[in-house]
Amino acid sequence: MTERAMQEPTLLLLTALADAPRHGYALIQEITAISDGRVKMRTGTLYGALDRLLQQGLIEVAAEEIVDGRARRTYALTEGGRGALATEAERLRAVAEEAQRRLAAVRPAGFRPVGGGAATLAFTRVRGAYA
Amino acid sequence: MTIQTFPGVMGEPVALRAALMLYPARYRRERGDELSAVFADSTAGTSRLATAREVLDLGAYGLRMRTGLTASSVVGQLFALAAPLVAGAVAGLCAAYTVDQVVNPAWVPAWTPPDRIGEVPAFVWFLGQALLPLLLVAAVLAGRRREARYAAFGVAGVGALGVLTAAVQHTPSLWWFLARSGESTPLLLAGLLFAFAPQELMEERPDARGRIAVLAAAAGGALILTAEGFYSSFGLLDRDAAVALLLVPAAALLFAARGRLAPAAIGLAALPMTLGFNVFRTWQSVGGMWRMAPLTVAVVVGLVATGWMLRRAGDGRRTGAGAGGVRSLV
Repeated sequence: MTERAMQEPTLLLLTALADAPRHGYALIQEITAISDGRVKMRTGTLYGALDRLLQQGLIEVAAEEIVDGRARRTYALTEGGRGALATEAERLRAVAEEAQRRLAAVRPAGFRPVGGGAATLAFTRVRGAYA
Repeated sequence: MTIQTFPGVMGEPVALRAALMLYPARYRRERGDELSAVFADSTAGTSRLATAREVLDLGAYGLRMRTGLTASSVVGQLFALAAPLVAGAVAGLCAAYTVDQVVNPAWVPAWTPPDRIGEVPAFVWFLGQALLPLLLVAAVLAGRRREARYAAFGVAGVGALGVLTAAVQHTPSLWWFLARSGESTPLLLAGLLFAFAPQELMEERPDARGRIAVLAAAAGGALILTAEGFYSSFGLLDRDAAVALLLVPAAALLFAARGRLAPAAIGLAALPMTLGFNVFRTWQSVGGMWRMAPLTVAVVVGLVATGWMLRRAGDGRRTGAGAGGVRSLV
């Protein structure tokens, strides 16, 4: 078995635990915040991911307590989880940096669509229509 | 375990309790209160629809735990590895079947629009088996996981329609029922296998090597149908081929118990294609149920033993999966 890119729910979950240990519902809230409201993890999905990450040794149960009469486990990143998250963050950073570099390398005035004459002509006409 | 009723779940304790009952007793004892608490917080102030979705999601994970199809189990990882291959295999098998129907049409071709209401299921089945597996494999190759899952449910639905139609039309003739339902069991089993494989372990989009594996599986599906004689009754005469098509994929599953998931996944992807028709074929060629009993017992014992070993393997050790999950075959 070899490593492959981390999937988004795993990345979000590990990111939510990166700065502090959190319990189940706090994780759901944190994931919603990190993803800017795009990902709303449901209870069954959350515990499926938590069980998998516990088994992989990427997270651990940091505390078990009763709060307001409710059972509450708090989860934390292990050293392995911290390392996996750092590796993934570095990979994403490198990709984002490369994307920025390539975008910056193209000057808008010199933009020429790939394909040559006809495409360039069409581009010019569109510009002319709005001029 | 006590199931508490929180302000957010007033009116839903029965649904919550039902969802939690789907979990294995040990897990429920250890995590039931915690799940209830998170469920209560998540559903506080939400609509009934949102609460119902939470209940379904909670119940679905319980069912996965019951069946061993979680992302952290060896069985779940095996299903995730086999899923793209089974998509390719069922597409290849159904494409070969459709081509055969076009080249060698029946007296009334299968694509003839129905004249009577009773002909509608067969017409829908033919169109469904011709189109939905192709949609499934196209979605897999394009990395459209959600669409692939919907297509997989559609494939399973077409398979279920075929089995149901065979039961309605041919009961009480067991021979006819097995013969006709054998054409639909690949769709039913392949669709279910794909739909219930843990999605989080599957590749977002297969790379070039992966696409080749899916296309090879499609060729394999077409070859299997050829080896079965395109469900022709002439194919019933070849007992050795029928037994081989049952035993080889089933035996490949044993690799999983040794931690070798790749060959086991290939066997698991092939089994839905071969199971239905070759059970019938073997039954027919060996001369009845009693003569088939030793083979049946051997296969069932083998499968149960494999499942037991897999569960033990899953319970006893951490999986080799990294943070991204298992490395996919594709």
